[in-house]
Amino acid sequence: MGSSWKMMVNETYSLLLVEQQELESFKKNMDDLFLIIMGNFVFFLQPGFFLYESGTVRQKNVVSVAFRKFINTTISSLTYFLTGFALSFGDGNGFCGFQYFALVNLPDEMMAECFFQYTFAAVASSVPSGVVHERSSTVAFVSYTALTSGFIYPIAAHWVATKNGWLSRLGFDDFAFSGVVHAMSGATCLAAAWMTGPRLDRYQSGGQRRVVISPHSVPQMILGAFVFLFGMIAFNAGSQGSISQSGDGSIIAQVTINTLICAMTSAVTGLIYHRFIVDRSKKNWNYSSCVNGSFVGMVAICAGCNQFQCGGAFALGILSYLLYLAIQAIVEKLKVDDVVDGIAIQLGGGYAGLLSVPLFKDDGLLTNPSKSSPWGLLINAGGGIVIMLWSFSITILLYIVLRYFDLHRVSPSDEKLGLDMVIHKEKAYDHTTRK
Amino acid sequence: MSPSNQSILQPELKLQEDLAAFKKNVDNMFLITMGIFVFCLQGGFAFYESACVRPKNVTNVLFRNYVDSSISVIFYFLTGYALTFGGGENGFCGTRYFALVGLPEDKMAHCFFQYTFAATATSIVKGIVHERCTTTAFLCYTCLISGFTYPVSSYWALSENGWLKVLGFQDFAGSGSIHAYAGAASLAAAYMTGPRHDRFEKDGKMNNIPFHSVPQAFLGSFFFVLGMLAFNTGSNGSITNDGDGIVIAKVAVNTVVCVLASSMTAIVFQRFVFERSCWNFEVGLNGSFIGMITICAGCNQYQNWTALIVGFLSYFVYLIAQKIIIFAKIDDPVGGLGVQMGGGFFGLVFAALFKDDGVFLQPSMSSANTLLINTLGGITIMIWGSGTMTLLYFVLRYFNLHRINLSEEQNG
Repeated sequence: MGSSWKMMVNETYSLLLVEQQELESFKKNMDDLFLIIMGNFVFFLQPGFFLYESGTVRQKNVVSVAFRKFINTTISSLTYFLTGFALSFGDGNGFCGFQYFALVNLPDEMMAECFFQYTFAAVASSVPSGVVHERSSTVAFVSYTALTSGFIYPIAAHWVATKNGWLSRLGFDDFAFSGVVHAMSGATCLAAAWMTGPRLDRYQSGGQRRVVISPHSVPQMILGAFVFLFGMIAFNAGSQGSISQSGDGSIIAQVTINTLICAMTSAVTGLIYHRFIVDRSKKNWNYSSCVNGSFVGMVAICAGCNQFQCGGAFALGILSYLLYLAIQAIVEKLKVDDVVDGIAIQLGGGYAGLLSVPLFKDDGLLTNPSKSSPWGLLINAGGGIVIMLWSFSITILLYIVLRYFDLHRVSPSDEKLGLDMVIHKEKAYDHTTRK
Repeated sequence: MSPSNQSILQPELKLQEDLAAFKKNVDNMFLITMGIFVFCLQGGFAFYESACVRPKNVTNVLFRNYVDSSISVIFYFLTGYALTFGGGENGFCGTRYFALVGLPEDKMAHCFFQYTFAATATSIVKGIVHERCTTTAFLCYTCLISGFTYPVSSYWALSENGWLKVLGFQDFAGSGSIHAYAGAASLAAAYMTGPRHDRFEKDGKMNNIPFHSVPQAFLGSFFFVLGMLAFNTGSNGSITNDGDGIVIAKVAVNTVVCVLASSMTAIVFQRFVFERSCWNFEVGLNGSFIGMITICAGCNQYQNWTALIVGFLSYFVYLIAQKIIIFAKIDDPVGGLGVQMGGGFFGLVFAALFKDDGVFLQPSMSSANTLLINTLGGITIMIWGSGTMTLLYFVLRYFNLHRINLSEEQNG
């Protein structure tokens, strides 16, 4: 009797162990699949950037936009796999990591995460090229892209995303990298646009009047905007990192809803602002303010989408648009030419996102104040400024070198002709071959 | 077992059953999701091919893209899936599930996923005879490819009894069975159809017909990358076995690395070797295509750095293939022949050479055997593809149905 009881218990126990193992490996598979699928969607942000930015520039520069967005994907994967992932997620100290350069010795379990993080790096390095279209040189483009994805962004990510990173140890809270990707690249944009100088025909009458340069294709812009929305939902949802832990599914659902709410709220804020506040007599329901507003919202919600109630996302939508307006005004005052409004969107949205987390999260300053909440606000605000200064200063250094060799922009005659024919010798829309 | 034993094991068994059912669901979901992404490739083909042709032929291109997906559905589900996966004892083709009769429900997802591959194969072929092919020819070869020739050759390569598979042929995501096959079939079609009337001058010079819309080409190529990522990751077939997730992640990273390497090589070579001071975008796109295709055969078995090397080498494969095709005066609007045939065939070869236990990294008799089988298998598949297409075109040429007349071609 006793021995058969023992046998039965053993049998049960070993069955349990086998099942536990099966379950563990299943969970791992699920997590990897989740990261790969979300990474695929975020990767699709690359053509989204292309569509939006090529719609914004003039027809003579479309191939250069295409080329740069394409090359950004390839260069950023080269540099990110060579050095970026290592600096971000290799074991190291509080500043950066030291393992896995060129993905050597990378354990297979980390592959999916590596792929997902690469798609983020591709986004971070794609943003700066948007603001200096139509006048920046290929050399400048290649250098800041490689620098951003191989060095600037990975180190900032290390500060925030790993256990050792000094910002994360201090309590910096940035879920899907509002600060690390967006505010950081916004600062890079500012440095690049300022040092490159405006397009030749942007400011007339001795710098007094700003000329509006219309986009050449609105359909492309809108398609790009929708692709952005699609990709940003995955950007935020995928940042959860796993799908198999308890409660993951609900968090991801909350993230998706918050992203939508915030993006759409700031889009509508922009719409209302331009219709009723800018110039009521024109009765202008402006698509571009709507689209830009949605970008600001998308970018701002990244930081706290997993911790907000829907009301918080709504409030952030409005507030981030206001910060966007403020920064847009400053950028115009400084006479910095920004083709896609990237500086205001990324800086304004990104920083608003960082500030919003300690304010609107469930135990935050505005919802449930306590002794520890102000510290969260201080860290997010201060950490955000440090990240922006980090990317700003390195980009400025790069541009000082480029300007010394006069390599930072194309010559005025080239700019007039259009970068397509000069650099790429290809036309964007070639309707000449009729017969 | 005594009743008390059984009652203790009950929740056990229930847990096991639940887990097994859940795993099945997830496997199906995986195949469906990846199949949907691969279906995006159809959109990619539409964008890219319509950008490559002249504006007067764009509607025709889009029409063919749409119809091609539809026809291949009918014929693949009628006969194609049966010929590829219908069990069967012989080494030539399958014998069950014609018209999906008798298909067990848990194979439905697999069927859908494989259909998206078949749709890709037919799309590739149609891309290369744009601007001069008749609708009759198009309909004929679409039915033939999706219903017969592609399924048979993929049976050889994928099915357990297929004679190539039995001999040790290794082709993870269809480099050989789809791309080399489709490339060979398109070669036959393009050769038999003849070039567009203004492509080659009398003295043999080739007229370059550029993109009419770069944004469309760009969008198409990124749909390709997205689709190929899913093409490769989905070829794993399941997500619930031990280590599946890791394989899929490896496949994704290798695909990206290879695409990057080949397109960078293309652009750098174009800039510094061929045409100084020009950063050419079209070349970069074609470079990325060759990388996408070459990596299919062995993406689950490469280290990351070998994927980089494969990408680098595949550009040269593309270069040589393009030169041969231009030399042979074969007209190819979308640049697909070099990419598909060269990339598909050499994908097989590189897989045998560079994979983890391949000829370069761990030489042995079995790896040499794999190299031999992959090479021969690739050649056989290509001969099958081009041979069947040539036969079809003999019939079409007899009735003069293979291309449109000159005035139609000039009008668009």
